Amino acid sequence: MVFMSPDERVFRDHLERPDFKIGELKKRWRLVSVTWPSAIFYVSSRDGFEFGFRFECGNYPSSPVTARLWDIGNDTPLSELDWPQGGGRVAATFRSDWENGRALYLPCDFVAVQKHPPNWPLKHPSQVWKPAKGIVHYLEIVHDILYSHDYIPSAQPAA
Amino acid sequence: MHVTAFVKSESNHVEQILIGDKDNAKKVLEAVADKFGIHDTEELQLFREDDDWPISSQNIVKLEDAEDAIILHLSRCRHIKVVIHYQATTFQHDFGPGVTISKITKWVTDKGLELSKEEAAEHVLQFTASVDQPAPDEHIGSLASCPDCTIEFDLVRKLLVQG
Repeated sequence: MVFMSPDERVFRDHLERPDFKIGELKKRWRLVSVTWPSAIFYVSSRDGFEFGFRFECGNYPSSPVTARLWDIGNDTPLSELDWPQGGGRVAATFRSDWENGRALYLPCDFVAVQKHPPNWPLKHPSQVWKPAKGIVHYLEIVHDILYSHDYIPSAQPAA
Repeated sequence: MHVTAFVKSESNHVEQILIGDKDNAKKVLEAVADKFGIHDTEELQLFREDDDWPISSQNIVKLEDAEDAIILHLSRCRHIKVVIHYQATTFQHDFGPGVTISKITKWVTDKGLELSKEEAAEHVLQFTASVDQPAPDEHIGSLASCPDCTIEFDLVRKLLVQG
């Protein structure tokens, strides 16, 4: 029997939920792998390109997850040269000048929450971590940003 | 051939069922109601996502569904009255309960608001007198309660995360 911690069990349950599968069906994201407490996903952008993300999900879902851009082929952080380009919400989310780019600048991100006063997420209620919705909410937010007109389409061919 | 159907309910609960290509609407409706634990199916209707009218065809599965799953909505409401406030203007329209928030947002931003395509895409629906915003994939019929079948939103700009 494979031992699975309670947080991993809840996480894997969330991956089986219809709301996660509907996101996959609509080609918004797709799961690559889970090596607990890490999980790798692709999230698609407005031009059909897919960006890799590595999530750290310990103590899920009572604690928020944290994510960073990830080079899935080489299993390393994504080179800054290959980060999503754009202004507005894209520039505000994917910040190499903050925490060395180790997390997304989002109110639902564990690292971002830790680095701000407690009331910071409350200024952005729609992006506060929601344990009941979990990883799907985070993926929805990232996809919405990559699908926005703030995103400048990549010169690379779509995956 | 079988197709996976994700079925959302009035209470925003989602169930997953398999539909055969020979299954008619009545059979699928009964299977879905059973999955949701609903015994009285008399007023229930099934809608395809983003359609304004209930499914009336004999067979629910269409040829174009062959490689995909489909998304349905189970509801007692035929239509949801949606009221949207933007600045000093109010818009109103009846949508099928399976219509998504993203389609309704697109509908209202196409109403001559003098927003560029890029600006329109940066707007989102927010429940009136609230700071909560429904997700783009949510069905309007999962947000409005029967028998009122009415819901009000404000159209607001998406916030830039700062601080």
